[in-house]
Amino acid sequence: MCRLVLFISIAAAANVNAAYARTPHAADSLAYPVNEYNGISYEVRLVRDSAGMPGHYHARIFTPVCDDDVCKPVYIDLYWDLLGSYLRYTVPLNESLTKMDHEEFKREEYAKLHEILADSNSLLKDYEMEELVESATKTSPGEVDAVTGATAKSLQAVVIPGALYTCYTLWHIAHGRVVDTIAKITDSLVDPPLLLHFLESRNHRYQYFALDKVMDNQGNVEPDYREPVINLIRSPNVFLAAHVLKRLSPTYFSGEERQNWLWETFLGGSYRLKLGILDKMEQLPLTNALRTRLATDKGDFNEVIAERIEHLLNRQS
Amino acid sequence: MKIPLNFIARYCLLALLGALSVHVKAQTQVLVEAESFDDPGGWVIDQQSFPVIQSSYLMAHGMGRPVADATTTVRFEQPGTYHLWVRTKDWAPFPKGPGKFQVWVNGKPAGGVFGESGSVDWKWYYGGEVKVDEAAAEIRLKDLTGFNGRCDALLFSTSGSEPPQDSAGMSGLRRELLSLDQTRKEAGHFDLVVVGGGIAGTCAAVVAARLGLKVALIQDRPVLGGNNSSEVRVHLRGDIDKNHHPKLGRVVRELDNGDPGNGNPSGSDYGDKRKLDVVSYEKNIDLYLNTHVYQVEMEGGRISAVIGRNIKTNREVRFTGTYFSDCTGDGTVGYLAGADYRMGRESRAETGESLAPEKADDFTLGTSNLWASLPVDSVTSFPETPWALPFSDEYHIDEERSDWQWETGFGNMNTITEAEKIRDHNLRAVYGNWSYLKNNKTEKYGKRELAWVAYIGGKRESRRLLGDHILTQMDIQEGKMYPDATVTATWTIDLHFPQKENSLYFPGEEFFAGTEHIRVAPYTIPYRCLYSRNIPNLFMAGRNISTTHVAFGSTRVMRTCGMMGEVVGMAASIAKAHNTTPRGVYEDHLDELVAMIKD
Ligand SMILES: Cc1cc2nc3c(=O)[nH]c(=O)nc-3n(C[C@H](O)[C@H](O)[C@H](O)COP(=O)(O)OP(=O)(O)OC[C@H]3O[C@@H](n4cnc5c(N)ncnc54)[C@H](O)[C@@H]3O)c2cc1C
Repeated sequence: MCRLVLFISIAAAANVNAAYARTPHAADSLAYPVNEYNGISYEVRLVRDSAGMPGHYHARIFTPVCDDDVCKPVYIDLYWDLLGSYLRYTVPLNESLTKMDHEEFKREEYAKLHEILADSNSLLKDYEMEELVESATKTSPGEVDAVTGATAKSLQAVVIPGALYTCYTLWHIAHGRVVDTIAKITDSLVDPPLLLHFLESRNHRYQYFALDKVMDNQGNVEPDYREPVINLIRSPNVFLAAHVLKRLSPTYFSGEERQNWLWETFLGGSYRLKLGILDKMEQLPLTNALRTRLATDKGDFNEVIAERIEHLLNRQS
Repeated sequence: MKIPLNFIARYCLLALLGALSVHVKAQTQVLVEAESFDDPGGWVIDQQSFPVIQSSYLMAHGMGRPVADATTTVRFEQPGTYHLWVRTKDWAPFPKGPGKFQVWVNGKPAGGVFGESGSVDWKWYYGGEVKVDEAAAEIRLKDLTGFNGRCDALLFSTSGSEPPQDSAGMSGLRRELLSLDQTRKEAGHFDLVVVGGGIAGTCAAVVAARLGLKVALIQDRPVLGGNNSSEVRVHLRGDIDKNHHPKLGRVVRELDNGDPGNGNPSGSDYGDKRKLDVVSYEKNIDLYLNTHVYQVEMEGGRISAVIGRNIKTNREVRFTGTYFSDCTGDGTVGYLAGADYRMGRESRAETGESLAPEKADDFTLGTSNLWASLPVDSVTSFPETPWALPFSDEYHIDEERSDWQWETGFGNMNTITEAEKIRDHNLRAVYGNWSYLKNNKTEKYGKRELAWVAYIGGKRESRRLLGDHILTQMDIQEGKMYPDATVTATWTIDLHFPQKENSLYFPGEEFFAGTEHIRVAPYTIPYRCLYSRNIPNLFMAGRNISTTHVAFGSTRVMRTCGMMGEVVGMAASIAKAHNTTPRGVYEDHLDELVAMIKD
């Protein structure tokens, strides 16, 4: 088997260049080589959006997919976001994906492949190919259930019957060495417009990435990014909102306007955010305006909140 | 000394109530238990908090769609003006819950909307004055949301004073106004009284009955099967084909309705009917469904009787017996009788188990409310759920149906005294996540609807009653064969913990579990784990037998639990034949028991 892979991967490497010559992205200057675990290599390229902002990464891949006996070639285009998360795949024109019996994927199997690749935590991650074959084909329910029942059952959900090797190979490429390569490229691209773009992107991974760059350990944020960072407290992503709220330096919430803003945020925010805002207020000298509003509104919620507001007001006096 | 005003007010009220108590009869009070309504409509009866609030209640479990009204007719001896009180709570005060409902009296709403007070405690809420012109009034509970509004009782009183708010005071009021003591029935005397009709209890009852014992089987739900019933939907695990004593497992096999997996949207696949049929066929079994045992009577250190209350009618029944078997899962009978028990984890120093924690603690495995969705023809909506757990693109559970991992209560909540809170936390996770999926992942979930969400929590762990032997990890892993080896167990040591990522997003509020299966070779459970070490006529079978927390991780699966029940049924018949105790069977008649299991 090994020898066969080697043979085909040389062919694959040769073919990659030919393939790229046909892609519309060939002109982009940022193309980086990736040498994948199964011996293939390919180039990943940055694609910019219409405004010239980094948009995503793309690679055309040609890889053998092998079982014990035979290998077949697979052509596929893979796309990643700027932090190396798999986005989607397409199959080049005139190509198709087939199962081991050479039957072409059905419509729903194409969709399923996307789902499989989109799961970065897939069970495929922890499996050697050999183990995988064993678990996915073992059918005696008594045996399997007693020991690895959950695993065998879930495995059936993460592969397409008859295309185990395709799923496995493509998953390991989509989540393989390319991820590190992309991280390095993106790091080299970081500049203020990109960071602002990230903060305002609604993509939590981009947002956390940017936050790490613009906020220090004390929760201080460089002036240019302050407003967009504070605004994240109103993000529909409650986890991000609570995270930013918790980390931000209390100094940004001392003025009357900002405290009013905080209270408005409290009123519209989720329960988790409400508790987070009350926590934050414990670190602040409260303005009279806010104290008045707290006193007026305190009974409108529940016992826990009423008590906490009471505590806030007493603490201040 | 300064006494806060509200304290004085309450104190005076109490004193006043005390002074007035002789006249209580003079004023008219009519207590209407919601669970006893003539027609519950779409509301369901929930008895799971009985140990805490000493009552069942009605709940509007509509998975987000308002359920049909519950209605009843209340008779009044005296027409007139009554103060209406409604016993309810806000089950999800974050900050205000969705469990909203109205109470209608004779076609008109009384007292506004209940269930959204922001307070999680069960309380009487004032519903204003209602005029009753005739001898009978029609009462209606109108659910407004389908999100688990709940009502324990209504009180019509000619006195304006507040009814007792605490559960002890409420018990007294209930006892008096429902005439519980005067209406209690005697079920008779039984050789074996089995409390709890899960797989363990059902097997114990069937085997004992077939061996000629007169048996009472008491179950506090309308169906048998416990976690394997259509109400919880857990599939049977543990092997019965590797038995050291092949005779065991026969009744388990009869009850087994095939394997629909966990949380299958088709409830009938779990075989409630099959179990009921198997039991109904036994003329030696008196089956009491819908009966929750909450009290025991003792005589000379033994249990002489248990008292159960019907979860709907609130009528009480007393069962006297020679032997009792605690198959409640919670070890409730043992607990009430003063049996030695353990809850939580032992320390490594105490048990010598490598899998035990350094220090003993209250950690238990959690409780699950499984759920499932099904495809529908067109896109449907599901409400936003601000009172539920929050989810977002960053974290949500992208599943069409649950499995065992949906689990709450890892020592942060007590599985008995906080069972309601645990169940409600599960519901907040299920509904919050589902709402996120429906409103944000419409492509995948638009044409799916919740088909089923369990309102009965599937409990894994609570008390373990202690027997003459406490099974340990070493017993299991070294495959120790004691002379009283009975049931063969095969499941891994399967101890759950909060899943890491879930802990990250919901620290202290986890609802999703992980596990590590530690394989074991088939091993045997000694008979001495199946009877109490200090209550001489008490057997136990199921998840509340005598094991350490670690060993419980393996013994707890249901085919194994069922075989324990079978052994208890046999042991009870031998005990009766020799007029001895469960321990007497071990000490003097073990050969007979082993012969019976082998034969
Ligand atoms: C989500 C989940 C997944 C699980 N996975 C598996 C699995 O895959 N396979 C497996 O075999 N096991 C599994 N388990 C474990 C297993 O379900 C339990 O250990 C098992 O149910 C124990 O059986 P039992 O008869 O002792 O108790 P239960 O099934 O809990 O039955 C006890 C019954 O007694 C009733 N009762 C309680 N108190 C009283 C009272 N005071 N009066 C009258 N009746 C009372 C209860 O309503 C209940 O119906 C799982 C458990 C859960 C919750």
